[in-house]
Amino acid sequence: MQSATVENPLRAGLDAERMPPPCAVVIFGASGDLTRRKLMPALYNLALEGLLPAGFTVVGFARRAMAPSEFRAQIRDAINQFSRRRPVDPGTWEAFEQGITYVQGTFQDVADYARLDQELRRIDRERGTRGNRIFYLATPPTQYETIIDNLGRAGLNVPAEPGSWTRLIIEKPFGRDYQSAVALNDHLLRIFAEEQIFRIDHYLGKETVQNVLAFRFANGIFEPIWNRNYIDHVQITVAESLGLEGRGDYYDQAGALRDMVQNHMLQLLCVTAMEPPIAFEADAVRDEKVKVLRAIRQIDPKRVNEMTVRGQYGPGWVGGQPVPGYREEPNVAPNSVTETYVALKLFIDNWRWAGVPFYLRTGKRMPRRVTEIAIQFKHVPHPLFRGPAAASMEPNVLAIRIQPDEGISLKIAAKVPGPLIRLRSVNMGFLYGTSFMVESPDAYERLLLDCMLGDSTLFTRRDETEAAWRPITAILKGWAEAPPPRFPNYEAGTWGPREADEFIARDGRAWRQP
Amino acid sequence: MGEVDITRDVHGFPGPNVDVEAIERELANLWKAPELGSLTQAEVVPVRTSVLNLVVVASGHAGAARIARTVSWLSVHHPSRLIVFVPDWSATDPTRDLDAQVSTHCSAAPEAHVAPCFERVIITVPPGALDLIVSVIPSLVLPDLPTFLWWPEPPPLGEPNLVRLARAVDRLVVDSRGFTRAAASLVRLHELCRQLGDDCALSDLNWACLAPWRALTAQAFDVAEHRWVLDAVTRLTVQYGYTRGAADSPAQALLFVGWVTSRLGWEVVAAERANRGPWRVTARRPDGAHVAIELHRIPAPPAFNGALLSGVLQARDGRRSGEFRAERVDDLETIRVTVGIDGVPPVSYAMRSRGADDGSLLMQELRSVDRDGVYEEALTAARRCVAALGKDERARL
Repeated sequence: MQSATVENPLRAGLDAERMPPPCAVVIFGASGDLTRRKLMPALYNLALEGLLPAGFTVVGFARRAMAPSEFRAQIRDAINQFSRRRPVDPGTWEAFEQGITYVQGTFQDVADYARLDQELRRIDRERGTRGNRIFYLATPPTQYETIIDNLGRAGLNVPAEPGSWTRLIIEKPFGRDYQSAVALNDHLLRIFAEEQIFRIDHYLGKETVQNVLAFRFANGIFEPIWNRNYIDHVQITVAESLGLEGRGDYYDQAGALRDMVQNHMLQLLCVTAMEPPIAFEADAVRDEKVKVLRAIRQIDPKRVNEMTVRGQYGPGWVGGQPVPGYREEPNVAPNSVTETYVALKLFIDNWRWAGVPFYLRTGKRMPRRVTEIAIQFKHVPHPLFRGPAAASMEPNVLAIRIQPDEGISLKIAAKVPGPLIRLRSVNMGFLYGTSFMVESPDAYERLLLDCMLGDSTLFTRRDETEAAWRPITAILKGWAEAPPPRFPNYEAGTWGPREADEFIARDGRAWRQP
Repeated sequence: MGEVDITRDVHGFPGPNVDVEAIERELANLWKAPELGSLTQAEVVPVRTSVLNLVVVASGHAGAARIARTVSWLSVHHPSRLIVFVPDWSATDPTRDLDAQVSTHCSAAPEAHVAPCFERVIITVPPGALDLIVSVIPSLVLPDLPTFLWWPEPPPLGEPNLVRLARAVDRLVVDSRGFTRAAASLVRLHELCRQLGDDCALSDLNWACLAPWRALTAQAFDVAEHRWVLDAVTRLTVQYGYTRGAADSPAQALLFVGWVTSRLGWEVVAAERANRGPWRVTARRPDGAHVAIELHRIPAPPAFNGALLSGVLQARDGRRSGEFRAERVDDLETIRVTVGIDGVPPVSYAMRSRGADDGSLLMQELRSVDRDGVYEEALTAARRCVAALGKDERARL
């Protein structure tokens, strides 16, 4: 059998059992923060690991006039500053930079897209990329439709050669509400086919989020208790100690609900609550996530205050440093009512989760940065140990820590040594970072590689995006109809407004202190 | 950052015996040691997260010190129970009692609330006491976890008890970089591999050194237009480093040749090596055509003695020709690939080779307990290169 007609015989046994075909990645918004902080360091790290195909090429596309050499120098600086592996290795860089070029153009001018097309054809000829292209929209969402339209007008939305492929990566936020997300999807699908579109939510690229799926579906012992019969409630927390970090313009228009809950937190909810997929394949996994999203009980806008709490931080102290209040942040309206904190209670109306509340909370300027999913189990059905013996006894909690200290801990009751029966809760822990020896790749590394390989498992599908907007849009509507909130209502450096504690206390429960 | 290191000596095993119960007792006592209180006062919880057992047979106390440095770093990333056997001639004295030392090391990153801990047991044994080691391992390893045996220095290949010892673990990790008669030892290593079969997986840190070379070489042929080259190779030229005064160490180069040979389905038909000159091997492709293989040693800094420095595949199929070249450049830590094939745009790319220090290589080899079929086939092909030499040439190896 001739090698040319079969799989590459040299790939057997290698860490990377699949290598993407040669391709070019075009980054719109090449001079932006996302490109510098995330995309180029991720691509460079892939090169460092030998995971990029021969002939791989990056084309920066932005308004600013600069020579390709200047763009390369910027990228090198960015990698030196933001890569998890720095400084730049000269040998790897020398080869990597040969595949970096730049096209100056405006997003609005279709003639610039024609020049981009010519450049891509040159790259196909000279670097063997064979018409395989990824267009990455690393731009403000206001530019999406313009760029998509012009890609279509220039004929860049269709494969350049027989057998080649064209893909499009879009960053969040994907719409501002259900209606705008549907409109954006309609617009996109007039020009690109669904299988060409990769909607990125970088949380899904995190190793520890994928580990939730491994934990649930590669361990037989949890499935029998992963339901309403044993679980009292679920708490999902995404707390940030940071403030706006220069994103005041964007954030003041978005708020915590759009910025964090609609995408990242609902993805965490999905991986926690979904049924086992029939296969670990893109559509099988996404089908199950969509079912969860569709099963979320819609919140009646009139009852939004019973199901949600919103907050906004005032001045305070975080990590020993005084920090300004939200309204004093740059590019934030002085009377802004944008929420920087949100807590909500959701129900998933299906057989598995009927009656089990999912409490979600996220906030900025919290005491510490932490993301976790906590599964709180029910009390034992018959309290065998009473009185002082059981004074410290608490229900079991399985905490899946996404960041930092990634890992899983199980709180169990144990007998305190001694002649008397006294019980105390202890934690059994598994630390992800200390149990495996390899450094986890950044989420963007995984997602960019998956896109090159055409694997959309960790990207969101049209119906998933829209289904995620439905409950969020109902909350937004309820908030819009409710009297304006009295902000600020929590001090920076605390775990959120007092109302949030009262909110969960009404159900006889309390927030965890992660 | 919270860090605690607690060490206890276990003295007085009578004669050439090891008191496993005494060691276990001291291991249990470590977890009650008051020193751990300094962590809990700082609200850091010491935790034992064991992923594997690592057994090491050192070459002596100096070797044990080197291992301790390697493994203490490793254990921070991969908590394990580490059991080190240190051969010591004084331990052969039947009147002298054997000693052991048990310790636990806990280390918490800044602001972390947990400190992963690992346990280490160091046992002094008489040299060559493989039977003693075989008997102790099952008693001291943590249950339900894979057990790896790392032999940093050349193991006693051909010693029957080595096979017994290997069968007591899941994976034996050797390092053929240190083999003094490298080519001849590869043949015996192959024999060990054959004897072990499914009982114990065998791996070699020298093979782990080839991981970036294999990845980069494979990458060139992921391009369909390049793949015909693999069917039409006429020559494979390999260079490896040689430092004056050091032992000639062609094992890594032979494993690379073995890898290419086995992956492409070639059969080694002849080999010669005159007066420590280049190796000249002839292989037959599946289509019957011959491939000329040469291994040259060239001067290199001591850190690269025996290391692969370049590999070049040349191909011709009548109408067209092509060359694949992978070579160390700059500080020799970067491997660059250039591919020049008629009618196809030239391609060049590079990769930083992963560290060739023992810790990094060992980490790679601890990721799997399964047999590595690709390695075993490469070792078999490398053995054929050696076996195809004339009798006199083999004797000189």
